[in-house]
Amino acid sequence: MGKNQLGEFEEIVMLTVAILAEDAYGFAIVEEIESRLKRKVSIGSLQTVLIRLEKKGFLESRLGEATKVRGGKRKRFYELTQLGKNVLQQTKEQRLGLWNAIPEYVLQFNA
Amino acid sequence: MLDEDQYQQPPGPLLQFFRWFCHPELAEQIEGDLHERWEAYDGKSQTYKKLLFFNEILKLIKPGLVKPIVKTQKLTTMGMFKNDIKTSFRFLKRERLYTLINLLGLSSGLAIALLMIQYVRFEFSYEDYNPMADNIARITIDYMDGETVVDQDCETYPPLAPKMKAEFSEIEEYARTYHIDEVNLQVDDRFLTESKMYAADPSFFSMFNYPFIHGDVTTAFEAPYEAVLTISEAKRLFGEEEVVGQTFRVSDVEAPFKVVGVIQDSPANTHLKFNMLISFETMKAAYGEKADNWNGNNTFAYVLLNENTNFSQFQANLVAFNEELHSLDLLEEERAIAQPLKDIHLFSHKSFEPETNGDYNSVIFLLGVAILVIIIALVNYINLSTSKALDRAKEVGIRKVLGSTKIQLRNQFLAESFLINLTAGLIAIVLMAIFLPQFRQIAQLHDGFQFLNDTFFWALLGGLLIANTLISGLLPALVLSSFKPITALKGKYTNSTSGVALRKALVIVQFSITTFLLVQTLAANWQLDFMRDMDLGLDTDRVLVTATPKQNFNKEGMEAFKGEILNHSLFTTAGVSSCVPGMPSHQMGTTTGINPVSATEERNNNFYIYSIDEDFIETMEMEMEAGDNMGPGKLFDKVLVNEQALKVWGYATAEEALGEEIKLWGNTPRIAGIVKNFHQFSPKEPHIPIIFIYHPGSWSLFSVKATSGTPKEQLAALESVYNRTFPNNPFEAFFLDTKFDNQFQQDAQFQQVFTVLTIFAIIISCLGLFGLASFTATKRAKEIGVRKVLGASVSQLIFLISRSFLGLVGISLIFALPVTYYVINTWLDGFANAMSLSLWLFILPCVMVVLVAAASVFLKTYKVSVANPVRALRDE
Repeated sequence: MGKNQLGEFEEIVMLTVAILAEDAYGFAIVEEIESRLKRKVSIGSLQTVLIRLEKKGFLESRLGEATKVRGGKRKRFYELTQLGKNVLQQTKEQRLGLWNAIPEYVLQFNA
Repeated sequence: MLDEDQYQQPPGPLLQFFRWFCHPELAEQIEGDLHERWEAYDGKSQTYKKLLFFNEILKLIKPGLVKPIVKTQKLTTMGMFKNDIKTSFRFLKRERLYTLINLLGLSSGLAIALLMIQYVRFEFSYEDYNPMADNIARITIDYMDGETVVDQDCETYPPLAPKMKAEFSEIEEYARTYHIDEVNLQVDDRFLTESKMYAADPSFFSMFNYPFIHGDVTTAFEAPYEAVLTISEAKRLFGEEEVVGQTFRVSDVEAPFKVVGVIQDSPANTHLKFNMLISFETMKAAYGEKADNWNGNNTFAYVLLNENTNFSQFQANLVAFNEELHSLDLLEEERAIAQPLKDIHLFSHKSFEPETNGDYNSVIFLLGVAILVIIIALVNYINLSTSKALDRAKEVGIRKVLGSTKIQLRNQFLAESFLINLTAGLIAIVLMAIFLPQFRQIAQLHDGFQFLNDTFFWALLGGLLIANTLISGLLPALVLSSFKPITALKGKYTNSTSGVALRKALVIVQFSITTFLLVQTLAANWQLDFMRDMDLGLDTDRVLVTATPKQNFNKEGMEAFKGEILNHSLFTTAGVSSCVPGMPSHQMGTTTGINPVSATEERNNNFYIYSIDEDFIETMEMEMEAGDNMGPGKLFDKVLVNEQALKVWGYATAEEALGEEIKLWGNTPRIAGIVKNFHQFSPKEPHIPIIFIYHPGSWSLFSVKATSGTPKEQLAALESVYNRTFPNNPFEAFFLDTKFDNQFQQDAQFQQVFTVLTIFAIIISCLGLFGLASFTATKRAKEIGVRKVLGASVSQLIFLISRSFLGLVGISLIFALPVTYYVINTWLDGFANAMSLSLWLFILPCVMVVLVAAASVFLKTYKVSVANPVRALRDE
């Protein structure tokens, strides 16, 4: 369990890769996170996380075809591995478990 | 999507920067992202966009995204290298004894040799602190007898240097210094003695690179009674550094001296060391020196030559100058010559040198020995590793079969040698740091002698280690990498003779050097003992010497002092004189060209003048050859001379000379007595001709003979007598035998340094022999086992293995002895009184070398010979 723990940003990146499905490449992920979560993401920090997640075996990648845009540079598309999916599932269950364990009145009072 | 023409490229330089640092595998995808990012900035101002983009790129500089520093292509070689180091390390760890012997030998050899080399460098660094040193020459005087030089004197006549500057266009500047004999200083109400005080010209400071720390150099030394102190002297006299404007008094000088400047202490590597300088003008004002004094030469003169002056040309020009001086009757049978400033410390051995100079030959000799020690240590390593290498023939065979190239094999051995050398170098540095204080003491070096902050030292150490690695690593590497894998794997190389001849030759070289060093050390020791035990012609035991008081010293005071001494239970006699044996030549006056009135031929020899009273000869226990003792009387009525003076004048017997008159300073005193030769200096020096006069004005030392009591009691008794008789005078005394012994300092120092070197050389050689013997013993363990089973005795076995080694040592002796005999003979030629060479001088070291070698071989062979043969034979 412990070594499969995801960091907060790692989790967001994995979820975004899942959202974008076949179209998950570097800048698309950046834009998706920026528009959905309204937070700034630098290419540098995203790339480090992508490399780390791939090394851990949660993501896998392939190079796309070259196009005229992007200065003619190829995109690298990312995809969740089975292990990555399991980890995401696990993380979700952990969160839910925590949510469910909160006594109802605690949140009501605060609302 | 934008049209292609309208598509705006991100700023090129920034992209180039990105490409430069980014990991090549990631560059493409990220650059694409960057393009999209740039597009997404649309609508903002160009500058702002660029700023944002730059920020984006900066954030890409992250570990994992940037290029690796080590190029990936080199990974394989690096890996191999790492592997080499690892296997070397394992091998060295497994063969502990072998590693230990190598490390010990190499590191101690390196340490001792490097210390020696630092010492030699220090000796060669004299005057280097002065950037103008190369253009400075010292002018000295040669005393001539016709064309032959009778004596050389460092000191010149005061007007000589100014006259030279006026006549030679190549002389830019001159500076004179004058050593003032020990004086008493009075600072407020404190009295201190000062023996390193010089008068100097104002130009001295710039010529000898002494910038003022306090005070103004431009106005200094134009007037008399001005003084410049070194920092330590300022602290000693006044307790602080900023003392410009302070005053102090000097004994026998009426006017007070004013401090006009403070400078750095004279460095350890200059021949002219001083504590205090006073203005040269003071010489005229207070010491009666005249500008046109062509009679007394007591001044050191230095001239600064133009940048492009050829020294030998300048020296040649001096010939005409000397002729001019002769025609003006300013010089008589003398000539002025020039000597490069940098040559003074190692090459100049003239009379009245400011300090005892070093000796070029000794220094070169030490350097040679240091190199020999390194060679011995290196030979050890080569010997051990080549013999060990045979052990590893199988390893090499397997490596070859698995596809190792020769280069890879060589690298393996080089890596090993590199590891050993590097470690040895580190240990050597630690050893040097630990033993530096001891070495300083043995070699009589100043505290500033350092090596850690010296770039040359590090360069040398690095160079030596690399050279060592290459030499000691390549030999075994070449031998081994040339093995044919099949023969090696069959095990045929284990008894191979390859490299044996080389090893034998190296052992012979090693032990030849060791024998040579041992004989030389013994010779140096014996010669020193010989000189110490020589009959000096006087008795220096239990003689205390103290300076006569500087203030108000008169006949009454002297008589009172002598009376007190005679009545004292500890003392017997007291004499007064201008000098005592063991003191340097500048303590005596010299005069050239003293001849008997009756002489038919005038000679221009140099004579030393000793002023003594009637008790001096008795106090020193010198012996009279003939005639009377010294006694009071008219100054130039009678003199005593020593045997050497008679020899110079050509008298065959003392009786012949007795009563003869000699020409001395315009008078014709009679030779009243002849003193047997005694050693004024170390017996290394020949006897000097001495004329004794009775001249109370130059008496400056009391010598007191003690009969009983400990040295401490004697000193205390003398001090109380002195203080009672001469209040307000600082008391300082020394024992004559100690002072005399100080003259052996240079020889003793040389001998000590040499002994240390020799001990190291022996230890290192024996370590090597031990290593070889233990290797052979292990190699032949089976053979020994078989022999033992068949009935060989332990002693037979020991003899069997030791024989070959001791044979080598024997050959070394045969090689070493003739060379050693020659070198020692040459060395002894430098002594006026040399011991006669005894056979023991050679036999003793040989016996010692053989014994030590036998012992180191025995250590191992014994163990193998007594071992149970079953242990050696059971596995096959």
